[in-house]
Amino acid sequence: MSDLQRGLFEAVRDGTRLRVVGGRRRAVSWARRLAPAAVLLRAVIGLAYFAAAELAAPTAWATSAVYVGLAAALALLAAARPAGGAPLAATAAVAAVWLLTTSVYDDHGGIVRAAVVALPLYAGHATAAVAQRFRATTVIDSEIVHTWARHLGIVSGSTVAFAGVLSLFTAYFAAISPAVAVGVGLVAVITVIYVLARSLHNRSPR
Amino acid sequence: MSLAADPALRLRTDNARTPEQRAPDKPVEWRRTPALTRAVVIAACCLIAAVAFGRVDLALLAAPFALGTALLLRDRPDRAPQARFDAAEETCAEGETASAVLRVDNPAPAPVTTVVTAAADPWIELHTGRGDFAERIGPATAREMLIAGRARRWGLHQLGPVHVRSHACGGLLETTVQRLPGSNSRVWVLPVPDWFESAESLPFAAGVAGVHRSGRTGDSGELAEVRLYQSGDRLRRIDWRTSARSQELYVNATLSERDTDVTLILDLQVEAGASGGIDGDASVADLTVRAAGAVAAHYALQGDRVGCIEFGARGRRLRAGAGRRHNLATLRWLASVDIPTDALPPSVEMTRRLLGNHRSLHVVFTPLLGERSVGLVVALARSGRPVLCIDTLPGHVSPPGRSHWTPYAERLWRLSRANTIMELRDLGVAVESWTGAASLDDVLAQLVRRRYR
Repeated sequence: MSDLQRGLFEAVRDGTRLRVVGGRRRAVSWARRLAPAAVLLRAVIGLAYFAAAELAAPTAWATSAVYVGLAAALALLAAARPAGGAPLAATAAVAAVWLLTTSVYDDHGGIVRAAVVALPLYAGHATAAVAQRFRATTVIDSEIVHTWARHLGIVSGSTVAFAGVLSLFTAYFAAISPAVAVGVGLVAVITVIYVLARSLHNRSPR
Repeated sequence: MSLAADPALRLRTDNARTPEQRAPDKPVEWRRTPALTRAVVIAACCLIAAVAFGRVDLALLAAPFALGTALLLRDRPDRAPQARFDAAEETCAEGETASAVLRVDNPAPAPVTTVVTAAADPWIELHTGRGDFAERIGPATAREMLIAGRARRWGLHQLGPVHVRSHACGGLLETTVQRLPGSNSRVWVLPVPDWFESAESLPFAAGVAGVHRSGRTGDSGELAEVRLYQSGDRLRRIDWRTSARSQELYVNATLSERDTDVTLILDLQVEAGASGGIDGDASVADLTVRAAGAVAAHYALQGDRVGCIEFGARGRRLRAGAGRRHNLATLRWLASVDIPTDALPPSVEMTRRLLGNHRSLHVVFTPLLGERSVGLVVALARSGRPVLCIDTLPGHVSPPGRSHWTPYAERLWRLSRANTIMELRDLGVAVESWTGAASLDDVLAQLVRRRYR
């Protein structure tokens, strides 16, 4: 081996060693700076989407390795990139699985099961919205977490109440004609979209 | 500070091309986030599908999204928060905390969450939670947030730029990023000098009053001679034993104690060794600055006039002065030491012209790594000035290994350098490695003996 070759070899070896040492130091520094609240929020996103995917599917699917793997991958992606398209993809996948399951299996839990799926879906969405600009090392004010938890509690309670109202409605007005049901539904949809649009364009009422 | 930061070198050049203008920052404004789009899309799709297929369960899936979005959008901010970034303190010492204050005003009647991401100079290690954090700011309030880090090395360091982005409505709305440059938040990190003390007097003490033994007689405790009484001598100076033995009046004559000038010459031609900051290994610049700071502090605080001169590309000079205030000014001057990589070689003659008092003690801090450094020391010694040369080459510094001949070449170079040092000593220059407290007492004693020989 000539001096030139030896020098090149030593330079490559030193460079590799420096990169490895630098990478290890950066990883240790990153792990040391991890913020518990930011990690908790990301864990909630992942767990919520995974739970929604598992609850939306029938038991035979939910226990299969392929489905669990896919659900876990989507949930992990949503937790890792809450600002990207992963949360929307995860929500769409869960809704599609729910539609498919309820189309195949007629007795898949009904309204109660739908409420149980809707709650983790919204928990994942709301948490992703809060955490979308936080890094895993961002130290988060405890008041932000309290506000997020309070909002989730209010929405969960309201959804459960809405599910109760829907159960009563379907139980007592089962013989309602399809045309009336579609009309009521259309009015409800237009009302919701109108309220959302107004709140988007109006200034704060205060 | 580099050469480019020197105001004299920032003059417009004769280049006909117009300088590139940086695009002005866009005003901070609110915009919707992907989360809001997601919520609206999911709610609308599920509701439409619920109506189209007659599925109540889909309406239930959409319910929390619609309800939650409506609840969150109730309190919408109408104006964007404004942030301002300023240095908290302009100076700090090595190893201490350098900080800057970020003030965020939220004029809107809705609470916002502000996410702050700060960058800093590599020599400032941002504290956990002080460079990357999120704070909640109440409606129509302002909040001051501290961005702080540990300053690991002396010099002018910058905290920032800081990126500020605010969220509202649970993350459904966000502002554009406000980038605050760190030009307002520069912090001078002063070097922490090594501990240095010396009990030795300095040669050529010829000031007004001080602690060094001078060549002139005057009131002090340093005995010069016992001589015959002359009219005007104080009675308490009479040496009664000698007078009793000789039957004539003799008095004790003493040497006066005066201050002197100390000129520190910093050889800043080349930097060698990687600086590890205050906790790691010292480079040539680190050792030079800290040693010069220690010597300057010792003599300036005991009343001697201490001045500094750079032997480098910039050739700066600090006027001589004494006292605590001058010591701080010296540290501030030392903190702005810089060794540019493309340095112009300094001139020995120009440096000699900057030297003032011929009878001051000249302390040269040099790693002795070039012909010019040796030439400067030799020129000073040959002109009859008392020169003390402090070797600032750290022991751990060695050339990078390029081939298997490198260790042998380094050994030859070290032998040659040791030979140069011996030649300097033969020329009457006291050369000593910097090792901190009392390390210069021996060479100072040699200098004083040579002066009074």
